Amino acid sequence: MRFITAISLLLVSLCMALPLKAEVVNFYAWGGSQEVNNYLRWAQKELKAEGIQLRHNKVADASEVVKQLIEGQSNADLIWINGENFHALKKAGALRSVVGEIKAINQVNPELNWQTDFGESVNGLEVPWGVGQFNLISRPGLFAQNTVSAEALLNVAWDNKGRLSYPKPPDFHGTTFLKSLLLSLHSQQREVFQQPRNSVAAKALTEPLWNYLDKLHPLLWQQGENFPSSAGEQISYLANGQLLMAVSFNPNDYKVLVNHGRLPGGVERHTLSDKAITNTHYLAVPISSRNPEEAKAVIEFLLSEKAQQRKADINRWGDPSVLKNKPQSEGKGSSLLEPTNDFHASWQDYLEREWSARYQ
Amino acid sequence: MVRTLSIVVWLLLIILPIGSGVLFLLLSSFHPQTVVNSAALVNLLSEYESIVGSFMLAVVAPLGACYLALWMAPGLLQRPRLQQLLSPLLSIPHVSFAVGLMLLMSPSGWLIRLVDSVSGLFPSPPAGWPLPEKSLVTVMVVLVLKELPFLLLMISAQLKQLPVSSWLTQAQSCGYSERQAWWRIVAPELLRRLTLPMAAVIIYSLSVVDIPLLVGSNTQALLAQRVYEWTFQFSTDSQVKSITGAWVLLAMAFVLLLINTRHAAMYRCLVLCKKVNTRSAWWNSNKASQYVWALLGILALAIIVILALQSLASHWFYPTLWPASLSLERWQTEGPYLAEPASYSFWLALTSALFGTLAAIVLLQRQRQKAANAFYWPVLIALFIPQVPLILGWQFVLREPLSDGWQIGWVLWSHAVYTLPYSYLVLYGAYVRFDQQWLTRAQSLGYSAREAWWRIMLPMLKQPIAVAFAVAFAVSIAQYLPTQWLGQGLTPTLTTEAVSVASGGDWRIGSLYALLQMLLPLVVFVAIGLIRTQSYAEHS
Amino acid sequence: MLNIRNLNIGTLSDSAMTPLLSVEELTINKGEIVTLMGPSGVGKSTLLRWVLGESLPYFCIEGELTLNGKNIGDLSIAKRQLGMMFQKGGLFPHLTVKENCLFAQKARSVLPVKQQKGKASTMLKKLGLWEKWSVYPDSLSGGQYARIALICSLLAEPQAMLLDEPFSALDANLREEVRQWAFAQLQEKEIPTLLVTHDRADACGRILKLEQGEIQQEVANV
Repeated sequence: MRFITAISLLLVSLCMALPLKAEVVNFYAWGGSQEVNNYLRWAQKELKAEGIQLRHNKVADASEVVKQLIEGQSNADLIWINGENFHALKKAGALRSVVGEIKAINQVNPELNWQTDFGESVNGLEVPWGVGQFNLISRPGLFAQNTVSAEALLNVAWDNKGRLSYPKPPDFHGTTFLKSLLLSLHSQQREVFQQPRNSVAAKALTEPLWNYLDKLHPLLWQQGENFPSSAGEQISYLANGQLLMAVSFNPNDYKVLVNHGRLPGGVERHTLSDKAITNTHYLAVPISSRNPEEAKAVIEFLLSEKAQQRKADINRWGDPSVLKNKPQSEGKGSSLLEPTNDFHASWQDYLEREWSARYQ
Repeated sequence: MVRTLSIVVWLLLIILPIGSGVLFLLLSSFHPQTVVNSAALVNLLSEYESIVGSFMLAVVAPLGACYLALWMAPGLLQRPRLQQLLSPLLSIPHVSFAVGLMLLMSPSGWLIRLVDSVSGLFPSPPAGWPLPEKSLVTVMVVLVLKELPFLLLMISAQLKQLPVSSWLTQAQSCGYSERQAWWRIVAPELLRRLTLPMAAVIIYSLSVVDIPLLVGSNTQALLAQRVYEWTFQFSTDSQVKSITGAWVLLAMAFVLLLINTRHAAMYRCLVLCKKVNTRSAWWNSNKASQYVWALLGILALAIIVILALQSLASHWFYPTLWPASLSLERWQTEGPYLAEPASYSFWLALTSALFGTLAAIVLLQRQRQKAANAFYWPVLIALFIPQVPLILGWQFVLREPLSDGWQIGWVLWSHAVYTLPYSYLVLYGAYVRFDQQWLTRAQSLGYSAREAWWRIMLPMLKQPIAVAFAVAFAVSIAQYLPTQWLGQGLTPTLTTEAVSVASGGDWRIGSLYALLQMLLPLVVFVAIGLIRTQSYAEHS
Repeated sequence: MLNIRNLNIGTLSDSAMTPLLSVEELTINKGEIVTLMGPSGVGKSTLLRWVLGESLPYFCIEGELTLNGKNIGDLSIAKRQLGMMFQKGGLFPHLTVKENCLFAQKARSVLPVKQQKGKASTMLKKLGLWEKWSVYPDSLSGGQYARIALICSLLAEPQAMLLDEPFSALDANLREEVRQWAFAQLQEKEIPTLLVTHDRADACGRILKLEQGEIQQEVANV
């Protein structure tokens, strides 16, 4: 018994001795990219000089922290989100309106359509951090042209049976793949997808897509019975030759991933349909944050020219800047594709639902 | 004293966690927005493929691992040192093991590269073999291989408690071959004693999420995997599905555990009715099982080597057999950032394994006092409630104290909730079957009951206690969601880092963390393998 | 002198009590060996365990027990100063022979460790088992095991000895040798000894037969 008492005392004293820092900015961000992690480590050091302790709490999926925020159980001061996660938090009223209080917002490129996030109005609840442009990365010579139409993709699939695939919706890469195909199949009616799904003939508009996929799927990897679970997984399959193609939301990934030894040299970037679906990824401050002022200071820093320039460096993260003044590193190989706006938000859920009803 | 402690353990590590989890599930089930009704159930049952798949997995994988372990176990009798071979396999976290296996056996894996480099047959990877990237078969193979060492460890502990060699001699004198005697005499007794470890294995196979997410089919997903995915999709529809699914999983667990309790008896019936075949099959020989032991050893080594190579490779693409260049760069970059997660991992695992093992001893000692030797099934319940609603339930109940800088304490507690059942079931057999006569004898020499416990029972049980501790240690190391949620990001461990880093699919950095994750349990498992134990079965 | 009086043993099942064995009076004098014989199930082992002081949850037992005139019925096992040698479990498997010998003395002996060691080693040397001093019990033969187990019991200087089929694990020729040696030791030390067995060949001293719930007759005095 004395032994047990001694051990418990030891443990309690250990627990007390372990440092617990309270006054820090808890930044919940996806930890799956070492380039992003290293970038945030740099930011951490820089911010320390300003007296702010930034803590990168790595998560496997941003939805983990979203779930916690909705349940009211999170200590997050700052989160990195977009799309569906933003919608869920907006609906739950869990985000603080911060855009108006961020000075650097004036420096943001006005051409960037950041006021809607996957078609949902931002309403000042999140601050643009970086730019996503949907693109295909392929083994050299797979596609003849820079832009790949739905038809061209089908032809390539015929010639390379079992070697193409796309991430499984509802992964947002997968859903965007479907959207791009829709744009290609309706190249004359691009604007119709900017409208709410209910106000247009969605069923008729999507019918060609399902017909197309019915033809495409048997030609895909594992006959379309399984799909890569994420874009990251598909990149690995591309690296090892199981697949000849991957998808990405970073227009510089075809260089960045080669620089980091993730993909073999020579891979090419293509646009599915004639323009790249472009959107923004954001930083947001939850209402429950205990340090909103510090969190905003972190946002200011991350939007500074220095931070954005380093972010765009294709030897590092390579994520395009959101600022008006193009950083010099854009000249060092960072390049944007011709953009097109994302669909209205109501399409997202619709496409995902219809897809799983048919193919899952 | 023991009584008070056992009440504390019950309240703190069983009733509080399970109660709050079930309370949360019930509240969600009757919440107007996410109410579970028959329509939701019918809806779920209509997608029966996931239920059938989960059921298949939870039956086939544990049985496969169990009989493979029984088939290989005579090797442990001849060479007890073989147990050391299990240590690396036991310490590799499940996901890392799956990744290592895929790096070896997937279509672009090392095996195919080897064949290609010799024959040039595969300029590009084949489709869907040797192990398909995504299928139920792959999940099964991973689970069988990962559960096999655990069951072998459990068998090895039991073999030290049974006079197996004299049983075998006796049976051979009646004309049975050694292998026949093994299957007819020793296996039924071992199976009886494996009921609990098998329960853990079954529950694990039914509720495992991370492995099917990695290598399972994603169009015909398993139920646990779908429940997990639905939880993180925020539409009302998905939320209802996730709660309904959690109940279905619970029901399946109960049914499977019920069947499991009859397993040993069914086997006994079957094997005793079976005619004795005098000619023994080629596969049922010690030689064949020795080859499998060797294969298992090679596999463990190969997985460690390939993870190590990955972590050192600057790049390594198909079809090259070896990485173009190796560098320590990745290790050097990560180095300064490893101290914090490594120390949290270590302290959490050490303390929660200690707590879990002590709590298990307290419960078992109380059972001895009450002469109530039946297994406490409630101890296992925490293992088969899906983790997401369970932990949300904890947060729901503990909300106030949680937000007051006590995160580390709660993380420790949550790990202990998971280490207790494992310690308990590893220790149960040896503890309740401990012969009272040893204690009586010590007391007759003048020692008090307490002294006899400390000086006789504890040292005689040091082997099973050490195994229980080691298994608990490994269990704590592997916890992701409780650490992440209850720790609120303030207690990063090697596992939280590993899981989030791995979500990007870059296995070079993933392998680095996988190796680190494996290192701590490996030290513990090797250390317990070195403990000198006498056989307690002879002379008794 | 060990004395048992008015002993009633009953079995408990579903709170109903079935009488099993009753002993009006049984005295074992200094240097005397008493054998209780009877078929299994008659309650002889239960009697022995009650004397030893074990708690027996499935039995209802009452009776008086005195050792050298002192009532020991309410004492714990540790305080009764009784030695035991049962079918199994004579030597602790996790201790070497030496450690077993020291463990047996440590709780009661007031001697310094050095003398305890000397006492044990003298006894082992006398038996010719000195080379087993630092081995673990699992490497002893059956005969060596039984002898060393008895030595350990004697080292604790018990006021009485309780034996329950102590030689049943030994094979026939060895058994007789060990048996003779053991009783010689006990008689030399003048320790009152109660032996229970179902085997006539094991019996020694005054032999009492248990039948139909009581001591039937005094069979013989070997």
